[in-house]
Amino acid sequence: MNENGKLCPICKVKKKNSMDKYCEKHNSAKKEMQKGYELWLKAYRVLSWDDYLHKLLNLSDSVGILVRDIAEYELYFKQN
Amino acid sequence: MSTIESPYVLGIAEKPQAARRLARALDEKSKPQLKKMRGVSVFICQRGNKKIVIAPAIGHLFSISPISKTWNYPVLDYEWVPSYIVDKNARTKNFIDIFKILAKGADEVIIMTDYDREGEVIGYLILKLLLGKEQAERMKFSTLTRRDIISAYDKREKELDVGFLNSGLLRHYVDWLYGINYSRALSLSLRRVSGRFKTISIGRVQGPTLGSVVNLEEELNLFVPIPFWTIESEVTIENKRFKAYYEKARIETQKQAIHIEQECESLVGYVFNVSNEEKNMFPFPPFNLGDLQRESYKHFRFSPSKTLEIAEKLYLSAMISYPRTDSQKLPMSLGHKTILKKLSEQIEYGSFATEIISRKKFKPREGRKSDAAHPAIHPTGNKPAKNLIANERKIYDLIVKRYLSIFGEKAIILKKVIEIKINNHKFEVRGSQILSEGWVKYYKPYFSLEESIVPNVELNSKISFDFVMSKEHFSTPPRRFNESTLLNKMEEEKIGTKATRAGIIKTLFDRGYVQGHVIQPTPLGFAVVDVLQDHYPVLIRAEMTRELENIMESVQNKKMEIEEVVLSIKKELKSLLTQFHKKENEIGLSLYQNLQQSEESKIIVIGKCHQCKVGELRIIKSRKTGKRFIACSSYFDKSIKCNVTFPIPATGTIKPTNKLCKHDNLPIIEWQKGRKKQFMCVSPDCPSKKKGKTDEK
Ligand SMILES: [Zn+2]
Repeated sequence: MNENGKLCPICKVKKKNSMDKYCEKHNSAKKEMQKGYELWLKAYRVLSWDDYLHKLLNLSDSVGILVRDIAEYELYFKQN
Repeated sequence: MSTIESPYVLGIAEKPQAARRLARALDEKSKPQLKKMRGVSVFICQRGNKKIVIAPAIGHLFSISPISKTWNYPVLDYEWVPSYIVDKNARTKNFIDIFKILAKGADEVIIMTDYDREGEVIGYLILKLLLGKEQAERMKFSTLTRRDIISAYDKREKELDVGFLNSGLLRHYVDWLYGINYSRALSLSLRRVSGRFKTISIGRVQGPTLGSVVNLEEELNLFVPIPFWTIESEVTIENKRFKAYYEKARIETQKQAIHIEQECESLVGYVFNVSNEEKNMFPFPPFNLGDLQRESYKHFRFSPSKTLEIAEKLYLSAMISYPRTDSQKLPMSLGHKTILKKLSEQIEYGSFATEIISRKKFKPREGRKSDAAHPAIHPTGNKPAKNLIANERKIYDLIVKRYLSIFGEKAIILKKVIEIKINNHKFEVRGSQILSEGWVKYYKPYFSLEESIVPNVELNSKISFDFVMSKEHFSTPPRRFNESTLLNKMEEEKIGTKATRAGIIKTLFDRGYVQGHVIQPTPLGFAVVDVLQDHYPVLIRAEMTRELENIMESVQNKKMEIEEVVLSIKKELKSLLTQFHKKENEIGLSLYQNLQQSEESKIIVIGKCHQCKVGELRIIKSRKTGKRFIACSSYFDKSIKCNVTFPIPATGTIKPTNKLCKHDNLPIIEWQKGRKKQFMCVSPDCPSKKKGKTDEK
């Protein structure tokens, strides 16, 4: 694994484990988002992950900044 | 300088203004003789066959200082030294000198400082270190009125209050021990790793307080809003519109919300119940310091420390009682009838005070909290000085009105609820009518009752709804602290005391750990808490601090001995610091990394500079004007001195996008304010701005 693989792709902070997707803080944000997604799905019945991320970004004010980071990254910057 | 002819009784006051009040009350002719010594006003009073000389301190005259002068830790030995030696700004030398001079002719000493832990310590240190005595008589009073001072003199105690004294001394020792050792440990760990010298201090109570602020911020950073719905509706009764409340305040799913909306489509409901209930409202309890600070923040936006400072001035002017109190009690012995009579002579409060007096009920309504030394904060009835400034006037008004309201009768409100059903969905129209305003009248404008009168309706009568609509909402994150709610949090967590909390919050601001009216941790605050959380959590958790507050309480109640407590605290601190020492490199390293990150994160890079092709375009803030703009980093490079700048909106957050504008090849930024978000080219002359839109490449 190259040097870059050890860093969080969003904030360039060193990951705790190189297997992790993000740094510790962004990982916790991702976890919260997954929990939130379950509740959103219950509320709307039909909702894709991407739509969820779009909606979160539109809510701006109250969305945590780490959560916002992940949503932006997964929607716009991640190369699959 | 001529000395005063001995023998005399020496009275030690806490502050110059208090000395003047004490002297005027104790001199039989109310005309004490003023004598200037080293620029300090000293008063000579005659009372019976005694000559009493009253001299003031100016708060604390001594500070704790380490005995060994090496810069290492642990530091466990200390001594009291004149504060002007430790702090060059402390103007205490003249005060110390006059006590040394006056010591010679004094055959008796009376401590007349404020009656609390600090007052006891101030008096004791002067007694011991300047007069060479261990014991003195003690006057205890809660107001600086003539009546209270004379009564405190007549009933003075033979000795100092040992409980107050020892718990006060203990607080100084403990705070000093923790403060100096942890500041040294943290600063040294940083220096060891980076060679960089920066003082990082964190006190015993500041640690957990800062911890609360940072923890909340971390929670906010992770916050995911969750959708929910409400049912909004309005009815018209007798041509007037009223809000109707749906039986459930919160609907969890969209499907359910739409379903309710559909089932109420007819907009016709029937009244199935009407209830009327009289509700009594009793006055709020008398003010203790915390309650006063909260109420003052609510109405005037004064910080807790500002409120305390103003209250202290009013106390020194003998207009209110001693403000550092936890008590919500107002014993009858305070002489409420007399206070009310005096208030009735003040134009603003005359009519209300007179009304209360005419009812002849002088038993105030009290709260539950009590305090060993002082009653709740109350006016003395003394007329305000003419030169009262606006802020002092505000706090005084709040205190007087609160006091008057406590003698008021209960307020009675008629609550009326009309219950309406559409298709088995229940709604309520709520009205309230003031039957008797009672005490509220006296406490206006700080509290008032709202009235909303709904017409009478018959059971089973038809009610037409204007609309029944579902509305989508998203849960909102917890609110950040302001100074008032942070004070509440400290009270809840039982850290700090009424006398110290406001000052601790102020220190967090002064040290640059937090900022803003809505309090947010600074990058430095974040960095410090992050490191401690990982390596040394005891310092930012409330448990240890709370336990120490309990120990001080026990020393005050004479259930524990100060010497034993100090020994065990030193022992514990030593072992904690040994642990710290072992981890010093690790702690220093993460502190260094965190600080670096926090400093870097302050710089927002927008993109490469198109002109010099070397520097970066960054957002910077002008030190002179405080305005922000985009500038090239090569401006500071003497060989290049690139002076490219672009204006940016003064408010809102700005983020780089890594994209370039197709018109002029300049960076595009994302600007966001509230719910508004916009992408824009940095150049004010960009053609895209004329067309009213931005095109990216
Ligand atoms: Zn990250």
